[in-house]
Amino acid sequence: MVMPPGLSATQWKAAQQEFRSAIGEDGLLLSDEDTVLYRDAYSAWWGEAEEKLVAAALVPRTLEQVQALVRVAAKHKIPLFPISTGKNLGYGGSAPNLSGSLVVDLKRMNRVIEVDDKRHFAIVEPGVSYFDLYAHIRANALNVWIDCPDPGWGSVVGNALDHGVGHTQGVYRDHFLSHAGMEVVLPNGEVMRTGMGAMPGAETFADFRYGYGPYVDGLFGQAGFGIVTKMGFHLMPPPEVALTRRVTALRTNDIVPLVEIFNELEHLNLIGMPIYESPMFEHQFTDPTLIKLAQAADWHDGKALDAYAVSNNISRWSVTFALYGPMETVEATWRWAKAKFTAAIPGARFDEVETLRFPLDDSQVEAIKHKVIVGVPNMNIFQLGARSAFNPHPFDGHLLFSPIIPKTGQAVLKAQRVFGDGMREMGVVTPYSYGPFTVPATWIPRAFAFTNGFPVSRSDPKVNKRSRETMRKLIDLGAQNGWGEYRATPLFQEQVMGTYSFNNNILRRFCEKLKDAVDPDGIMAPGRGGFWPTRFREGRS
Amino acid sequence: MTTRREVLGIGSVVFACMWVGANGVEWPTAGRTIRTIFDNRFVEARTFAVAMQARGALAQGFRGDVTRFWQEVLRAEWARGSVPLAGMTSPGTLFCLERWAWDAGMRVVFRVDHQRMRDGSVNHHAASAVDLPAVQSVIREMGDDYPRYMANLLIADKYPQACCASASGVGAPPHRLDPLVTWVIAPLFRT
Repeated sequence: MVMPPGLSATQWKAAQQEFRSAIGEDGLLLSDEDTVLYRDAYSAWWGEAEEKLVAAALVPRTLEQVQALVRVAAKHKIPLFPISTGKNLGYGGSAPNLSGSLVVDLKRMNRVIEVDDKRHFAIVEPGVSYFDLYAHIRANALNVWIDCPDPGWGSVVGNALDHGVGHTQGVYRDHFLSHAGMEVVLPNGEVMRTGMGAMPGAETFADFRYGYGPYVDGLFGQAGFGIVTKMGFHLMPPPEVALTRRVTALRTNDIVPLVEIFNELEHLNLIGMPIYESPMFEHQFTDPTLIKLAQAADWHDGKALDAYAVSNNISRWSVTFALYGPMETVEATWRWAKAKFTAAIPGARFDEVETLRFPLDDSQVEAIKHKVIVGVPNMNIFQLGARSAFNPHPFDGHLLFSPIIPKTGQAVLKAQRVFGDGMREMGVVTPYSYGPFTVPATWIPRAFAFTNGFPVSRSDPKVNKRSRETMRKLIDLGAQNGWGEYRATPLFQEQVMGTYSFNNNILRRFCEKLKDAVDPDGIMAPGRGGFWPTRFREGRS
Repeated sequence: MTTRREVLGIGSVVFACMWVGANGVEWPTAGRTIRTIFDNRFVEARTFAVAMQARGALAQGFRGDVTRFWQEVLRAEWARGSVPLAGMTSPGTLFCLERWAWDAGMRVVFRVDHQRMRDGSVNHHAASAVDLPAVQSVIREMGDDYPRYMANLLIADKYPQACCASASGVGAPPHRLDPLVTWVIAPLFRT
């Protein structure tokens, strides 16, 4: 049995009774068959001594219960680890940074408090999943879209707090950016509301995010400063149409003008998320010659691959994206965009993938090729092996390495080479390693996430050891080039925070000072974000 | 004469309550109809469904993505109560259903993975919690006819049920012969 750190058996027993009084008998989960569910299903330490395990789970239903349990935890100095729906797979899931923490599972706080389809916002509790919000909007025939990740079972609040992302227009698919207003239970049990929530009687909680004074919302994302119990989100009005279109380019260096034009289109808010792909990635598995070219020492000069592309009539790059708006406008934008691509990229080709006119009936929704582009949550990513360029080894799960690089073609080519060479030096050379077919993820509107995945196994520790070692080296390699992770599982959070090292790690030192002031007993998600409260800080880098 | 339609309408698949695992997993009560789902992309899963239906189960197919079944059927059913579910699907589908089932107080209580190898043979791998003689003897016998054997086993008088939470798949290296899994999700009985 896992115990909260620093507590005797007697103290723990007494605390359990107080938790029961605070949140009811059914709110405290102690049995192995319950606590086992909070293991990180994608843990790269699965079954090993270093795996982080919870001592118990607390499942409150109301804000008042959250306050009460926080006060009990503060009294006994028991670390808490809040989760929303616990689906943050690949980035830690429901497991804490510190073994012996009590998970605060907010799944029973699952009210959709308000959705306004004239001002286009929603206010939700943390237990509301994207499926829940989508169902609420449809059931009430509301004229708004959601923006959702893939898969759609995660928490709207939880995803935003981990800087999660989606797939539609830029301002909506950065989920933290799209939020407005928070309600938070602080480590002393008090409730704080941010932005316009701090103004009693304000009706603009989910409209205007800044309110007045310092913008403190950021402290509650990827950190342990409080338990968020309510958030507002800006939502997108449904467009008249969505045109899904595709541009392909033949040559390696075409990536440079390709990215420049897509940046312009996106930063003018004319298009949604451009999805970059490499058609040659899949082609490797039908032609071993291509694997050899991709893994050759000189692959990065592009000549051999370009020659292959031409002779086999396969593009080097493909970008699929959506234009949202009135038909007249988006058709004109598409014509304009095609002209720009044609002028800048000889041989550029265009495909009209899909044209959707809204509203759609159920069978039309079912037939949509890529549902998340139009805000329809689904679980399609789990079917079969869910093998993809980002999840190349669908064992029992994966770790995601997501360094941020500039939105330029030059940065893509450089990152391919740096990480590709790095993996070669580690002896990790597979068709799924970094290389000429690795493409940037564009979930984040103003930067590329140059994401790759590494396998985790619940039956083979050797697989996990290799993935851990690969990740650690890549994190350092990325940092050497100024490419830091935007998100990380607890296993790597300290290392990642350590790479944000400007001025002797002043960012971490500043966070530690704030932590010590706001959470002096270090009960709120210690270690989250890669920095620790005083009592757990000694001996850590 | 009782028609097949009448049998399917009024009959119910009963999981005979012959054995309760050491960690106290509840068997469905007698007389409740068991819903079965299957991924109809796979001939093996379709065969399994037909075999289950022949024995009175309600079988519902979906194609790859279990989202719609979840949204239109299961979500409401599991919100009302813990309704057991059996199935033959991809491991990814089971992974999703398992986690949704946790919120309804249920667990995966039976699991056998079926891995088709490149030489055409099929490897079967029971989750360790249920890898007991009753299952092992069936596995030794079933070979390629496993969909029917699995259907028989699920409706048989005796088969073990135990908490298989977070059970691993067979852990095979990446390849293009994706596995299937036979499973049962049922309420967790607390002693």
